[in-house]
Amino acid sequence: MGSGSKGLYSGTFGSKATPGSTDYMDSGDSFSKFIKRRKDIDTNGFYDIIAHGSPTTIQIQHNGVTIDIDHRTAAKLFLRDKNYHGGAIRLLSCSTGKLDSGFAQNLANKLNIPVQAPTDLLWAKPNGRHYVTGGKYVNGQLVEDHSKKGSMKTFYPQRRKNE
Amino acid sequence: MSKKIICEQCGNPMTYFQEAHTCGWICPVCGDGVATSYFEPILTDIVDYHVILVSADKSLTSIKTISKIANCNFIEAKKMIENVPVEVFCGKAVDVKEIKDKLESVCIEIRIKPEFPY
Repeated sequence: MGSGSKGLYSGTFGSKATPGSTDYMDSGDSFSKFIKRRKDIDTNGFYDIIAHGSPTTIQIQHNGVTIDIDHRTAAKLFLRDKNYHGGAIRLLSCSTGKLDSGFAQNLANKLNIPVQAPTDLLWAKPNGRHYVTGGKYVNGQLVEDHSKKGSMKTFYPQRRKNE
Repeated sequence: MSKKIICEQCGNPMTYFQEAHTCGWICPVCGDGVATSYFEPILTDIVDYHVILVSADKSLTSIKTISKIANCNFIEAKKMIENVPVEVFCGKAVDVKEIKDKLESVCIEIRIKPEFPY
């Protein structure tokens, strides 16, 4: 697997490269710094995408500006990524696997590949350990909600109903 | 009352941080912590909200607005006004917020189900 890099659209330099992944976050982002220290790189051949995420979009840095993109733009972006040579993708992006027909499923359909994504918030520790669990706001501060356990779910490409 | 998050490593209270779209907790003593993505709750709300038209006059402005939101022609939009209450849109919170603001700006009365917190 080739060495990782910052994303094609990322305007940030100096980020530590990680094998088998592309990081679309700002290099100073704490989540980005923590998740890059993960030990489970290239798990089962999944190419890692690091980006902030929501159930229907991910967020990337483009010329220093933060933009939200849907699965269609993301698919084009990943296909232009020199380090990504096709194959299954793991999204290290919060909540992208929360919906049955959300970002991860749509990306799987668009690229015709399996896509693994967290079903809720993805939390990363400074040592690289990461896990999926819910969150709740207490006095405006987001805390882990262990009553809402999440997981990394794999979405497989689905044919359209009229095909 | 604020909730104290205690560091698993050293037992000291952790500090909350939020920087752009990342937030989390960090221990000022040992440096342990956790980080995740932060989005406005409306952006991650996955509930499907139903926008119900309650009342509207039959002015061209109302008909045009409803036609655009319900994705129908003017005749159908007028029928909707005559047959209230009727659902004119169903979707996620971000879209519903935009529609709510648009309808309220032209004095069209709506109801949203389930309760819309934004």
